[in-house]
Amino acid sequence: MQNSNKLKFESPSFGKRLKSMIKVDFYRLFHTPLFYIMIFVSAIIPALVLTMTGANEAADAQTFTNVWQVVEAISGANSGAGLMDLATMCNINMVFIFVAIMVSIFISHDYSSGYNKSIFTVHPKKVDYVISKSIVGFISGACMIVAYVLGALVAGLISGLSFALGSATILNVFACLVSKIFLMAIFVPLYIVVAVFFKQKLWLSIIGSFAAGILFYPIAMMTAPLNSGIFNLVMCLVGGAILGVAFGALSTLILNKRDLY
Amino acid sequence: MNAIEIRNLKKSFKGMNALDGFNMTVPVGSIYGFIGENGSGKSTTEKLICGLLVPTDGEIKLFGKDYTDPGVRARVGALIENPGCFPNSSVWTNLMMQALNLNLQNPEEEIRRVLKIVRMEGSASNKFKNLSLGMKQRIGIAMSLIGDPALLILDEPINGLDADGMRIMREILVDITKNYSATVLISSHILGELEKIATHYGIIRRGKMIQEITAEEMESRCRNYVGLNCEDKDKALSLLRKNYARVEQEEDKILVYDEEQPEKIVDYLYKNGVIINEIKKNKIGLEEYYLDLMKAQSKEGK
Repeated sequence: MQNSNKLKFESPSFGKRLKSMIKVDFYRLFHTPLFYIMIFVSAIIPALVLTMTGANEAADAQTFTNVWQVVEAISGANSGAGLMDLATMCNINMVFIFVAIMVSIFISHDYSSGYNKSIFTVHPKKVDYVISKSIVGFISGACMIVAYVLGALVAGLISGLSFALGSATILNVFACLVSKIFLMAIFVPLYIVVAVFFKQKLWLSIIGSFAAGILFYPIAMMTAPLNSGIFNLVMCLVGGAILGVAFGALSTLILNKRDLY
Repeated sequence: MNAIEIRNLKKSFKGMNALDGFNMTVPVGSIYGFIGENGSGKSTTEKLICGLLVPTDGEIKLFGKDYTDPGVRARVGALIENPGCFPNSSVWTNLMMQALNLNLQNPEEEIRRVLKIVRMEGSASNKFKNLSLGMKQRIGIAMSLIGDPALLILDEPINGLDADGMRIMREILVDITKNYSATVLISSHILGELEKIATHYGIIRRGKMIQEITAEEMESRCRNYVGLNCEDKDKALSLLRKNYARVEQEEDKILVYDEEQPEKIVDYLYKNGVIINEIKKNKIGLEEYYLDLMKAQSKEGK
């Protein structure tokens, strides 16, 4: 088949290069347990929060009375003083923390295993790596958001909690979830910046991602409440695109300017 | 055309120059033995060619194109230090990732092909971490062979291998260059093994290329010597030193350089009353040549 080995060097187009990188990353994602563990964690956390808090509280003073509380708050429902409440902290925005762990492990293993040598030997354009990792991280994050909501709904059903949406509609909830997914376009590239900076140092990468992520968690809460509308969707889409591109450019710059090891 | 052409390459780490005005020319189709002491800059050069390090200055061209050209780099296979494989994944998964990385049409067929070349067909389902060192090195070679590379860069691929492992690796490398027309850049400290396969040599010292020669040139430069063992060594040494420019004593042997005919030495010493117990004509190998060159460089203070 390939033993003629003629000295032909066809430069692959950007699309072809990116396609091959994305294929590798998805193959790796689905052939290692990391992705499945993170999906499981995303689904089990809201279920645990709902069932365990309910079991340890008096019936008249329950933290969670409605299943949507563990997903997200309605805009203006939380006062500034209540930001550290369990109900405020234990919601879908936790997924942005899980994604930080996943992206850090995914990239740091590229370095610690030495697999990056194989990647960068045949892929001199570092932007391919950054875009591919961003897409894979984004889709993983989206799956985690869906898993979280499904976990919360199933646990709520089992616990017998109310599903009443109050002033929000099911379309608002849908807009909220899509907005959260758009926000992944900020968080994933941000974590990639931290991960390529710390290379194989996994713990520094995770801590650094948390530290960087904290700056953006309030944005995730404020810009995509449970009663999100078209404005929230557009804001998250545009914000995600702009910051995602900016962080992607920063990661590419780091990779271009620094030695791999 | 040259497979690799490096001009005035510089690389420094925190102010320390690992490469300083380094030049290298590797012809297409050659097996280029890259030799040097530890820390001389061999691995740094190889990493720079593969784009794993960022050069401080200088120019690297692969097959006449800039080394960052995606078309050229897609045809480079490398095994630098150790195989870049995920330890908990199977051999097949690791190879599949590299095949997908290269966007190959039929990755399964390609994986079977490279596993056959390195004689590891039976290990595809094993976890990479469970393989022996020699097997891991062979998988590293297989990984570098995926996608029909025009240039193979192998950093110490035979280190840590047993005699049989070395033989297999040697056969694989010769097979690759003969049947797949790849150019191979190989660095190794095991000069005896390198000597058996290399067609060209490059000797690096303190970040500079001090000599590039073909195997034929090396052969002609490697001087003949006669090794002999006799009873009265002191007398033999003084007699031989009168007649020959370079006579050395090594353990219980006397080495007389640049003498093609041992019988002349036998005759000369016999006439002067020295009885020879053992005499053998020899040629210095790559290892001695390299050590001589390093000694000469040290004397010159380079």
